[in-house]
Amino acid sequence: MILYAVILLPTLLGLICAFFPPGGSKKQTAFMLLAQAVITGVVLFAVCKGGAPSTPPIYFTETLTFSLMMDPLAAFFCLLTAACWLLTILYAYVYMKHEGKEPRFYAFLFLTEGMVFGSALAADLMTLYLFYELTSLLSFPLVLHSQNFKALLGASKYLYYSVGGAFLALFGMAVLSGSTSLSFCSGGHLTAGELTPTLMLAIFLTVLGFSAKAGLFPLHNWLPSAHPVAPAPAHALLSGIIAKVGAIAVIRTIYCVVGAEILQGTWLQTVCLCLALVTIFMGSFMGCTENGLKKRLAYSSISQISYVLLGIFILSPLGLTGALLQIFFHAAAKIGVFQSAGAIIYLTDVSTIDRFPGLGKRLPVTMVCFTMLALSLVGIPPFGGFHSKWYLATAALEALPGAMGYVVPAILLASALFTAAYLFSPIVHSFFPGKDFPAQTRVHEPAAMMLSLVVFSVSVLLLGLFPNGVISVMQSIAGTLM
Amino acid sequence: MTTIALLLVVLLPMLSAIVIAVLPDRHDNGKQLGTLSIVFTLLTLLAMVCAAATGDGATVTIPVMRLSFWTGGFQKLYGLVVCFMWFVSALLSPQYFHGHHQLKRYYFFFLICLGFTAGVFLSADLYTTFLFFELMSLSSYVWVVQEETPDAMDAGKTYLTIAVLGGLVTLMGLFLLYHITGTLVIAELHEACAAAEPGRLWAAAVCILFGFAAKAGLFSLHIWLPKAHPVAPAPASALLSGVLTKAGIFGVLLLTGQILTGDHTWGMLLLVLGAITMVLGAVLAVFSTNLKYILACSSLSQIGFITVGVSMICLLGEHNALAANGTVLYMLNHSLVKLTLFLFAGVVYYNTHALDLNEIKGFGRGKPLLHVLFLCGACSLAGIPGFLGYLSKTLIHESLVEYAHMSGMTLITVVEWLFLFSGGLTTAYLTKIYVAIFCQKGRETGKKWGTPLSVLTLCLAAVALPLLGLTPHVLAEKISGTTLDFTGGHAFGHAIHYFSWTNLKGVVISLAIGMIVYFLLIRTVLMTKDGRYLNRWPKWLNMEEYLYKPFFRGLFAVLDVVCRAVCDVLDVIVLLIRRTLLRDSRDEKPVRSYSPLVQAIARQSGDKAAQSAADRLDTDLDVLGRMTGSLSFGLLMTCLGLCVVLTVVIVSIF
Repeated sequence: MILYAVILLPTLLGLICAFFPPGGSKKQTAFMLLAQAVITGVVLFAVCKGGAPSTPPIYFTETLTFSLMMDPLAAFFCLLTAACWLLTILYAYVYMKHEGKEPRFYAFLFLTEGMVFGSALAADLMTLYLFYELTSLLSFPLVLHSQNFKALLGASKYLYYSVGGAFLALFGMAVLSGSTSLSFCSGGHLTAGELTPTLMLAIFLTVLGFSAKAGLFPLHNWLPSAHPVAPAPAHALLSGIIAKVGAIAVIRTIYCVVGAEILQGTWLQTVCLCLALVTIFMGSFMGCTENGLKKRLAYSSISQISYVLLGIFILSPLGLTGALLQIFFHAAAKIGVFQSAGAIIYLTDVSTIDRFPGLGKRLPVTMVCFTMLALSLVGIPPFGGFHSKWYLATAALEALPGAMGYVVPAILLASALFTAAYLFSPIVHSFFPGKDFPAQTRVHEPAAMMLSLVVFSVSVLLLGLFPNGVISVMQSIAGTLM
Repeated sequence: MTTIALLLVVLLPMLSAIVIAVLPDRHDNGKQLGTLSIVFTLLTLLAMVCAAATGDGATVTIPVMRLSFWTGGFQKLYGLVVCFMWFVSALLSPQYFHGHHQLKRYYFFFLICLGFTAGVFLSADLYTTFLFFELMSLSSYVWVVQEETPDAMDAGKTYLTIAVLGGLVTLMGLFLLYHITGTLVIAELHEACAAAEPGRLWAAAVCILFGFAAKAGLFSLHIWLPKAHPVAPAPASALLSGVLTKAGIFGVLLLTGQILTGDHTWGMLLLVLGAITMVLGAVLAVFSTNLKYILACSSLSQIGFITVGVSMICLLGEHNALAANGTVLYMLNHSLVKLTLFLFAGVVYYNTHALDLNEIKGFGRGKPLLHVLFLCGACSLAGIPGFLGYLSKTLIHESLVEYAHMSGMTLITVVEWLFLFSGGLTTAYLTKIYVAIFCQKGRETGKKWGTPLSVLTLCLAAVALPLLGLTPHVLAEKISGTTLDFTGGHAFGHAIHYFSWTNLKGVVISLAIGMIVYFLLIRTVLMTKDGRYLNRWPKWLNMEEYLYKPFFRGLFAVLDVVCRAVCDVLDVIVLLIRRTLLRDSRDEKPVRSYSPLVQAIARQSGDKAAQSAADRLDTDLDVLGRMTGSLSFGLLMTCLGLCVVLTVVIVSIF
């Protein structure tokens, strides 16, 4: 029952928000914060209750069922989601004054949260598909929020790609359901003997379809069009959490339905790895060539989320640990970076990199946080991002045979170099504008906005300095899935 | 006790940086910041002394990020050097930065970098080394761009690029090394690597070398060094040149002493790189007319000398006592000399606000103490007997002679002569500076050149050079002897007669070459009749501008085309299909799905309001028609369908 509550509570909250009077008052935010805290509490309760609660399946047909369960992966992702939503509401209180139409925004924000919970809690592929589609459809209005031509274009691109991907997955699932149960169990259902070429193709299409949401090449190009047009709080969550729903779906397909071991060394692994590597390299390179701040960060998302997929496709416990670490640290760092980008746009109207000089003096707190989060994204120790990269690279060297094992870390580092190039240049310009640059006055930075930013930056630093807890949790989650 | 002291060495600077960060942002608190940084660097130095006194070569692990520190001989020596040099630089800072702006930022990074740099030298595993190395590279960037002049920004860009690139390539090397050996603990590497396959070990070693060589300024990765050192404030230049380049050498030593022990090809690689750097730096220094630029190029050249020493440690195998001791002493010498000379340049700068030799001519006249201090540094750098530089240069030179004799290779003899030749050039450019500042007549300044504190600072920096140089057996050899386990060196088989004729001969040859170069090249070609210095170095001889930048621009352009093509491939396909196979027919012939009745009424009435209402209805209907025919409508329906499914599920639960 509690699992249904986890999904229904945010949905209900979303429906309530839809009837708020427009204008976003303090009271509304206080109410939403309280409600989100309650949701977080419920999630925490469900996680801590122990005994891996699950619901009895509801049968549509023999093979198509609806069931939920709280396994460690779901627990991790639900908690991460709840925490990020809490901070985002705090941040959005100030930011959304700039965009207007708060009730609609919050309504869809919470509806999406419910669907993300559903995707994480799903206990079979059919349920996952249902929530996956709903996540896409309910986050669509978030992208469309500003309702201008660009937003319409971006949002429809987002929808086409997501739904197109989902249909690919649906096709794959249809074939898969013919030869195996679609419910999740650790280690998967299939054995190496059962793996026919048709089935391989079906698995490939399912994986490809689900990873459209995570922006895997070739279904990635919606991301730079759709993400930048969304309001900053939504943009942050789209990249930090919602895109990872795709990664969760891929983990479920590969590790919980098919079984990772039988896919090791097949063409499927090689092709998927290559796609992930192409995405990583291309995304980070395109980031260097882009002048718009939000678009640059959207390219960065493409490359960073593919790190997660890369870790998944390595198909070893170590690789999966790296992927989970990347989900965690990238969510923290990216949401923080997007929020600081939002703060920069909201407070100073600077939205392109070439107007960054002098920002360090105008927005010191924002820019210091931006710097810390950028260091984590590049993977500079002791920030959190370093650990995920370390695990991914060592896992690749250990698990992948032949040249691939060396190519993966090399591409990871090339991508880190580009990441440094596109993130450090705005930082350098903002703090060191040059000797003759006119003096800048400090702009007031609203506390509610800064609090969320500071929490994210401090957490990437602290968890980077003391990573053992996080790493052992991720290792145990990876252990339950293999 | 050792643990606490070591932790303090790393943590105190960070703590002090935080203290500086929370101080109010005022323009007139330069003195206060300066005093604070002196106090904190002194405390760190004391903590390091304590750690060195109690440390017994044990490894100390702390729970933060699995960091571990080691109190081996080399580690202790360089930990002390780092803290000492920071302290001395901090002492000169208050006077140097008088009237400067943005000091809070400078002192913050000045202090925090002390902890990181000490961490590099004290680290017991390569994981820790890498962590501190990266942080050191990034935080010292701020020193380079502190002045924010266009030159500084340009130098900073090069510095940061090379630092990040070097760091990442090193990380790749660490991945490979960890994969091969399964350990990154420095003390275990020697054994683990002996069992490893040499091919893959080489790949790892070359990657790791890349980052460390970049920091040390070895040839082909040296481009940042002559740009960055001159633009940084003098106390920072002293550290960049004296300590940070040694962090690079630390890595090279580690690779040589622990990972590729006795590998002949490795030794030859280092020898060639070292020899090129040694000559190149010295030649650049001879041509330059800017005091700090000369010193920066001189650093380059000296790093080359040290690398030649390291290569000899590798090549000589069991007979490497001369090379091992010589290299460590050379590093020590160079650190202290560059501290003295860059602080000297700082004194010159804050008195005259110029660094070009033509503008600072005659500054040193009538300042006897400054004269003596400069000579201490210069003589030690040139390797004059009685100074530390002489001991180290002699040891490395002797090892070259020994290896030339052992191997019979002509290349070694050539390098030996290049060694003496570069030594000669060193004498030549030092003479150039000396003559310009202390002999030639120029603008006269008063007798006073610094506050008592600054005078004391320079004395502190310079005093160790003759002290160690005059007591080779009592002090110098003892110091270098403690570091042999790290460098992979052996103890001296027999006592060295430093002041015998065979050893003095090298200096005499070098000095002779130096005088010849000075009188035949500098005084004739590089100087006008009336004593003005000219920079005749051809502009087109610039690797960065005419080799690296075009190469990377080209690479970037190619990647740009490729990545854009890859990025947009699916969009292009979709577009092509829409233009060919699935053409949107409504684009050409819009279907007007209005009611003829409505239109007729509107036409008939002639009432404008009704007409526009009809038009609006028309467009509304048109939009509706388009919507129902579009994909998004289909999607909306899908959404509704899914919602119905969810409702069914929910209803069936309750």
